[in-house]
Amino acid sequence: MRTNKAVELMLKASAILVVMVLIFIFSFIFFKSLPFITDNQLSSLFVDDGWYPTTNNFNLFPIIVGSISIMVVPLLLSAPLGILLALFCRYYAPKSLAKVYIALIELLSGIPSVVYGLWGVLVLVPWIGQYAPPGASLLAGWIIIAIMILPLMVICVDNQLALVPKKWLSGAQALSITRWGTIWKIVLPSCISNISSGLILQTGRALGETMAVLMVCGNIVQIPTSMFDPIRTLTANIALEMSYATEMHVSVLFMSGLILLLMTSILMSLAYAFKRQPVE
Amino acid sequence: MHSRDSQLNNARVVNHTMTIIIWSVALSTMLLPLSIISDVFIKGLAHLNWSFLTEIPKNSGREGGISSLFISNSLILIVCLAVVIPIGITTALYLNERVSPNDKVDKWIQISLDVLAGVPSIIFGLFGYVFFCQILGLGFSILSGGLSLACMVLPLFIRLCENNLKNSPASYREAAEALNISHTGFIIKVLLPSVAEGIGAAVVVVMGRALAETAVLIFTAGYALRYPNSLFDSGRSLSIHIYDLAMNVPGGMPAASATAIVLFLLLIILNALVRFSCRRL
Amino acid sequence: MDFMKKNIKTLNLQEKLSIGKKAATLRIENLSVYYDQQLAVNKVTLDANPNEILALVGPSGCGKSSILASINRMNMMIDDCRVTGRILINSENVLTDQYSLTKLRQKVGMVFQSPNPFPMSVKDNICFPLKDHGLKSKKDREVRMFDVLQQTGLWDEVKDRLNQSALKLSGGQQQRLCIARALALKPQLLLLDEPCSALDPKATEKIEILLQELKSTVTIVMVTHNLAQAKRIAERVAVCWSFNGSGRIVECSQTDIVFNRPASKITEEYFSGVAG
Ligand SMILES: Nc1ncnc2c1ncn2[C@@H]1O[C@H](COP(=O)(O)OP(=O)(O)OP(=O)(O)O)[C@@H](O)[C@H]1O
Ligand SMILES: [Mg+2]
Repeated sequence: MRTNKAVELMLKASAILVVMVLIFIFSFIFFKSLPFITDNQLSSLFVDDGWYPTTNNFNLFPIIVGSISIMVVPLLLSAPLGILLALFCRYYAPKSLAKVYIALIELLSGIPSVVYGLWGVLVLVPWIGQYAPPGASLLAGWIIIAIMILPLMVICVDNQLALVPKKWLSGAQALSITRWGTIWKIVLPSCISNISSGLILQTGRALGETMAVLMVCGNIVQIPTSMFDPIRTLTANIALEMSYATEMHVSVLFMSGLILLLMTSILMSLAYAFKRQPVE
Repeated sequence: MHSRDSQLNNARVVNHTMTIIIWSVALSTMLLPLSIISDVFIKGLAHLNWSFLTEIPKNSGREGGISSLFISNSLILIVCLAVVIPIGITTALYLNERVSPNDKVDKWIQISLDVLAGVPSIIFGLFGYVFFCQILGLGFSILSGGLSLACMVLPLFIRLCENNLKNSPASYREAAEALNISHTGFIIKVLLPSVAEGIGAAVVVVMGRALAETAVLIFTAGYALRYPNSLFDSGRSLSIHIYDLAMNVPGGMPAASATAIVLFLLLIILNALVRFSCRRL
Repeated sequence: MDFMKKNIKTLNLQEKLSIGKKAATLRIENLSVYYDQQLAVNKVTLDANPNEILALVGPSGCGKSSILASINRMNMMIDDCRVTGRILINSENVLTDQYSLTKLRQKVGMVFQSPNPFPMSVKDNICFPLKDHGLKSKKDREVRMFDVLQQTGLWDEVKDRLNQSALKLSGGQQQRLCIARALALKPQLLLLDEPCSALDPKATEKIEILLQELKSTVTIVMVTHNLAQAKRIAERVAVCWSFNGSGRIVECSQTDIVFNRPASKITEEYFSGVAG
């Protein structure tokens, strides 16, 4: 095709602009956390006497533990459920029901986390509080997050199932292999690594979730000893403190943002590692 | 013979068990999200009436309505989309159309888009608060909020557009190539119109994402309840209103639930729009 | 004065877009096509005379499309595709960088296997490429559109829905529209890659009649799997065959010779359904 230098240049410029914005955001976060890295030992994040940022005690460890603990259990809860539900939509439900079901799932995946949080405050926290006061707790966070990421997981598994070649299924049908046999021996093995990849990516969502966690987890800085203990996550911590933070406190908040980024990047590289080219 | 028969039977039994399990799991699991929605509706419906939509909030939002928040939220969305749509489409075009493919640069753009898409939204909030509000001096304002939001949804929008462009039929490109149409003409007259619906759907998806977002906006768009006078005014989004009423305003629950219903209905409308435009593809 | 200038300018453009009043001579010499080191077409030599239809037949994968796509340098679009040899159109080698792509693509029209009109109105399908090539006057474009639609026998069928989407036409109409679109640029050589394989017999017949008429103005090179079709409309037939994965032309001569007294054993067996 005949190319037009000016137009090509414009397209390129916008791509470069996007990349620059990206680089800018990352380096901004990095440079903002530099004062903390240079003034304090990084180890102070783990050995200080607790999280009292106004008096320069920056032990972030309980908060990091909070972030990790809030993400693992929901993954274990909703990954198998997500796979089952996606299988249901594709191989069990009649077409019309599957359509409605997927539409419902998509709708649920769009519900704002603040609405889930609202329900947590309205129903879940008082309910848990009846048995184990105060109610705002790790458990509440688990339940909310699990419910929140379930639709995302179903969609992600369903997308992978859609890529399984139809001819394999009809081949199995011709041999009168049972439905579950087909799923277990043919469908799942062919796409399980891509499914895992997607599920790990969705876990990143749990890690980055702010509002729901902020609303139902109690936000007390401590290493939880039971699931009824309130906890605080990195995201909630940033949301709670950035409006009044000054100087070193701002810097350590950016530092915690950097840690959050690092954790999501690890999850993402894991997801990349699991990813396979779909079969022909 | 015997063992083969029993194996067959085994498979059948497992098959039936799994069928029962999957059906019951599928039908029961959905009860939970549905009960969430109904809980919120029950709490909020009593508070929801016409004046709730047309009045400005009073008494920290416990009374009155949410009319001014509609304006603030729409302005935030407009700022966000005004930035995201042009940059997003041109970048997606670049990624899809680059004349001399340069694998390395390309790969880096792709990776950074992926990474940016996975960045927790609160980090954009933090970035926006320090960069737009403080360093650029925009303060808590609709502009700061919209721009921070734009940073967050840009990667998603680029991805969606890129996928759409990829799915545009190769035969159009072949024909244009054989006729030696100019690249610009091809993009404007053939390529973009052929994916217009898809891009429209992408815009709506991004609007939904932006409407649902809270963490980015808390400390960028601010909390003001009045009608904004300009883009430099602070203005509260619906999502922040829900958060604030639920957490910081004793007795704010009914109003929070009513706002959640409104937000939820808006999202349903957007969702229906996406489905409608996708069906037309 | 101004008016005159404008007129002269349009005239120039008119000329620019109608260099090809005469059908072209095509000569392919030692053409080889590689896909990523894999030799797909091996030293093919072939020619087509003005005002004739040359049919290119042969089994699947023997390189017919590759030969065709080399002629207007379409396989440039494919990464790691390399073409060597010479292709002469009116004695000018078009495989050199000096030969401008614009000129080449205008001289050589191409029609594909499945109809691929642009997703725009019937009218725009023909007028947009003309406008894009610099034919500024709306009237000229419309005259040209009328001409080619007449020529392809589409005018009566579509004159009432010129502003409707071209995608709403039937498959056969779409394919004729694609031919019309190619003709609008006044090519001297028309390449068709299995133009009828997606069409029913009735639509195929219409296209065959059209091609017969068109050869008075353009040279036509056409790939087809339909031997009967080649017999019906081609002046000459070239048989392509794959040897160890590389395509060669085993024979190329008058249609009746190829079908009745083939020089090559392979041709004979291919036609009788023994080989291929
Ligand atoms: N884009 C490509 N990349 C790699 N190899 C290719 C490509 N296009 C064609 N080939 C190879 O070149 C050889 C010739 O292909 P070509 O499409 O020219 O055959 P053909 O005669 O047109 O077949 P058909 O009748 O099926 O259309 C084949 O072996 C094919 O695998
Ligand atoms: Mg072919």
